[in-house]
Amino acid sequence: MGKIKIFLADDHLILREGIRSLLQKLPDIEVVGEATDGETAVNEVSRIIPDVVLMDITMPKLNGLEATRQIKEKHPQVKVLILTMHETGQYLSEMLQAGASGYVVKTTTSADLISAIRAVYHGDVYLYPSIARMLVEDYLSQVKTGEEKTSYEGLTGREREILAYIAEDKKNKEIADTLGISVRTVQAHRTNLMDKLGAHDRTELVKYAIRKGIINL
Amino acid sequence: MAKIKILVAEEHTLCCEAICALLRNNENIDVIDQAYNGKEVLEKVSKQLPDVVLMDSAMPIMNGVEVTHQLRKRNITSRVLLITIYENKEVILAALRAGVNGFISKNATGSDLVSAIFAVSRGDFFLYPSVAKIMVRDYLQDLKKTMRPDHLS
Repeated sequence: MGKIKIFLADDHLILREGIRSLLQKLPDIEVVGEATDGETAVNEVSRIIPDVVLMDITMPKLNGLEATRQIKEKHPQVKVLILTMHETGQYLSEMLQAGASGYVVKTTTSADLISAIRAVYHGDVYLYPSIARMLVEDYLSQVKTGEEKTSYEGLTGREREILAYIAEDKKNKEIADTLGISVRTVQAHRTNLMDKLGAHDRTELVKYAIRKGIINL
Repeated sequence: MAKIKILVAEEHTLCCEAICALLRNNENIDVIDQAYNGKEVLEKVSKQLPDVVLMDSAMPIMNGVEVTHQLRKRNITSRVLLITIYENKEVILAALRAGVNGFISKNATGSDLVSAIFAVSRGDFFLYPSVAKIMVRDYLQDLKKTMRPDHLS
């Protein structure tokens, strides 16, 4: 098996030298090039075609986000691992959308950095644990929104109508009178709504209606 | 630094002992107990309140996700690091919702495992790269869906 070819893009010399000496000790990894700004990184990566680019975010000329986007556009097979001092993960979503395969912070240990390099080289994704939490939270809320959207689409027109009335605090009798149907039918619709939306009581139905913008506060 | 108290839950005795032996080499980790099925994990964790439960997802009587769900219902905040073999979106999602704090694979190296234990014990999340890959792929697909051009004016 050939060695994993690494390219370092970071404007700090001491960091590049440090990482180079760290990685040089490993039998399966070699550093094949360096750049101190984003523009040079894009050009050099196009020329050398490394396996993995270790990319800083804050760099002169072209930042790491834009450089990643350009590299992934031209060479989708090149993996980009973000190596940054930003521990808040504020650019996480943008970096992933730009095509980055991983996100490591500069306070990590060398063992973790090496694990990350090997993971992205094999086509997996490495997210530093403090960053991973953000993705998990984002992911869960997104899945929830998606499911709610689907569940709302699964409601009949009449059910949506009744949901709006329930959210406005109308009683079954009032709803029945307004719509010209029996209280028993309203009750049946209400039960179906709860089932379809996974709600256990009226409060949950109202909360759902607020989230969906069916009623305003 | 106080040692991280850990309980190892894994059905296969040899596997369990191997993991414990590996962890006992680390001076910052204290393996306080072992368990071999879901019910036993639930009882031991409820009583001993370890910092971290290293738990196989496939266990007899009650699987790892169900045990986690039960622990959270009892307001037990021990971090759960789930050992997974078959990763797919449904399993990952169910585990996240149950309240796990991280995923690790049996293919992980010893150093990965120790990193994962430290991460979850300090309140961070650990996503083993093959799990992270599935999540990120799904996340990006969802993002694309919500950013369809027909949503723009």
